[in-house]
Amino acid sequence: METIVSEPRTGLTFDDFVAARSTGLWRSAFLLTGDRQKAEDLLQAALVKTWRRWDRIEHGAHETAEAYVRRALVTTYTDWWRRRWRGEVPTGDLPDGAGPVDEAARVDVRRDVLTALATLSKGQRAVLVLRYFDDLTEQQTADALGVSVGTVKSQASRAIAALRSSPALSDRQPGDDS
Amino acid sequence: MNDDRDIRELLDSAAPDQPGLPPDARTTAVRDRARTVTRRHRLVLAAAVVLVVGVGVGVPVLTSGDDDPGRAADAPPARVEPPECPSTTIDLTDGVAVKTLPDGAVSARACPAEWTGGGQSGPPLGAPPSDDLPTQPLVEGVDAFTTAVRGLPAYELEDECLFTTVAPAPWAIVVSYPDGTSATLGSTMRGCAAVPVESVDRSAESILALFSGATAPESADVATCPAPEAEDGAVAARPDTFDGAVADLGATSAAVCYGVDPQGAPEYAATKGTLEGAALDTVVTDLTQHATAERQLAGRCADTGPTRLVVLAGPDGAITLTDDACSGEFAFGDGFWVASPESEDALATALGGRVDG
Repeated sequence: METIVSEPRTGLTFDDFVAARSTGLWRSAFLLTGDRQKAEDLLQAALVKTWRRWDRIEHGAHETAEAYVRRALVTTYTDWWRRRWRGEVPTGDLPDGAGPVDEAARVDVRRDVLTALATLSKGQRAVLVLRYFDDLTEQQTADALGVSVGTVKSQASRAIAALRSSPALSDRQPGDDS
Repeated sequence: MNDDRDIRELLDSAAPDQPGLPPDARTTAVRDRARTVTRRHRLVLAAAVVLVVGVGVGVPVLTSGDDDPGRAADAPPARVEPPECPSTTIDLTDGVAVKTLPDGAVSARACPAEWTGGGQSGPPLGAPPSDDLPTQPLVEGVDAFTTAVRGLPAYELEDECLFTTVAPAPWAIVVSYPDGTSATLGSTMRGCAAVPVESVDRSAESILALFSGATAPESADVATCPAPEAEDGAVAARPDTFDGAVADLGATSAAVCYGVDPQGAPEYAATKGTLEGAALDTVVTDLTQHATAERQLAGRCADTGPTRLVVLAGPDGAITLTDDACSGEFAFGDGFWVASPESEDALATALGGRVDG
C-alpha cells in the first residue's frame, strides 16, 4: 500500500483534526465559493495539502493545524482564482438537495448574502470571510493570505463598503431571515 | 447593516450549518485524493526531467549531426546566422496574435517594440530591446522554447491585477523560420497580460520567463533560478543534479529566488538575485557547518513569507534548497538547514530586502 506521509508521532492526528474542525472549515469554504459542492472540493483540496505536510505541522496543537489548513484553504481558493475553476468533483458522495430542514428558512438571506458576496473580488471576499466569519485578527488574516496588514485593512474596508451599498442587502437586517 | 457585528451575523446566517459529507467520509476522500495528487506530481516531475534533459542534451544532438532520426529532420542548416530584428520597431498598439507556433524555427530573438495605445507612447525601446530581456538570440533549443510556450496553460487575468497598476513595458520575441516566415510573441506589459498563441491566451510573464531561461547560459557551475512552472506560473525547484553531500558540492555560485507566493503576486516570481563573494561564503560555510539530517524547527509553523529557493551550483552539479514558508527552515535532498542571521541577511540582500516583515 502506498504511503503518502507518516502520521504524526504524537499529539493531534489528522483524523481527529478533520473530525473536530471540518464543519467550521467547510462553512468558510462555502462562503468563499457560494456553492456546497465547490466548498467540499475546496476543503478537500486544502486538506490534501495539509495531509501531505502533516508531519511538519506542530503536533498536538489545534491552533497551529487550523492556521495551516486555513491558509491552505485560502491559498487553494486563490489558486482556483488564478487557474480558473476546473470543474473537479470532490471525492465522496454528496447528498442532493439543500440539506437540513432548518436551512429552508435561511434560503432568502443566504441568497442575498451570496449575491452581495459575488460582487466582491476574490481577495476582498477572502478577507471578509477570514476577518468576520472566522474571527481572525487582522494579523492572522494577513498571515493566512500572505499579504500585509495594511492590505487586509484596505480590502476589508472596501468589501464592507461594497456590501453596504449592495442592492441585495439594502433591506436586509441581521437576524431577518424572511 | 451598521457595524461589524452585522457583517458577522449575516455571514453566519448565510453559511449552512452542516456540510453534506461526514468527517470520516471526508478523511477517506482526502486520503484518496492525496494518493492521486502524489501520482500526478510524480508524472509531472518525470516530464520535467525529460524536458530538462531535452533542453540540455538535445542541443548538442542537433548541432553535432547525430543521426537521431527524430532530430535530424529538424536540424537547422549549419552556420546559419539568426535573422536580425525587423528594421522598424514592432508596433504592439493593435496587439499581436500568433496563429501558429510550429517547431522548426531557427531562432527566437527579443526585438524592440513599442506601444502607442491610448494616445500614449510606451517607453522608447531601441537596442537593446529592453532592460532585462536577453539580447542574444536563442538559436539552440528553439523547439524546446516553442514547445514550452504551446504547453503553457490557458491564462486568465489574475484578480490581483485589478489591485495593481502595471506600467506598460512593450516587448516582442520574434521567432524566425528557415523559409523566411516569422511569428511574433509580444505584449505591452510584462505581467498581468495575455499573449494569444494558437487561439489560447498564454501568460506573458511565463513566456518571458521561458525565453530568459532558454537563453540563460547552461553551465554546471552557474546557478540560475528555475523558470516558472507551466501549470501555474509558480517557480518550483528543479531536480538536483548533484547527489553527493552538500559539503562536497564545492558551490561556486548561488542564485536566490522566490517560489510560490500565496497570492500569486507576480513581483515575487520576478524577484531574484545571486550570492557572490563574502555573501556566498557566508551561506555556504553556514550550510556546510550546520546542515542536519533531521528537521530542527519541526513543530513551528508560522507564515514566513513566500517560499524561497536557493540554488547552489558547483563543478559537478547543483542542488536546490527550499524553505517551507512555514518555519523558514530550508530543506534539500535528505537534509535541512536553518540559516543563521548572517545567512538570512545575505539572502534578504540578494532578494532586495525582506518581505516577511
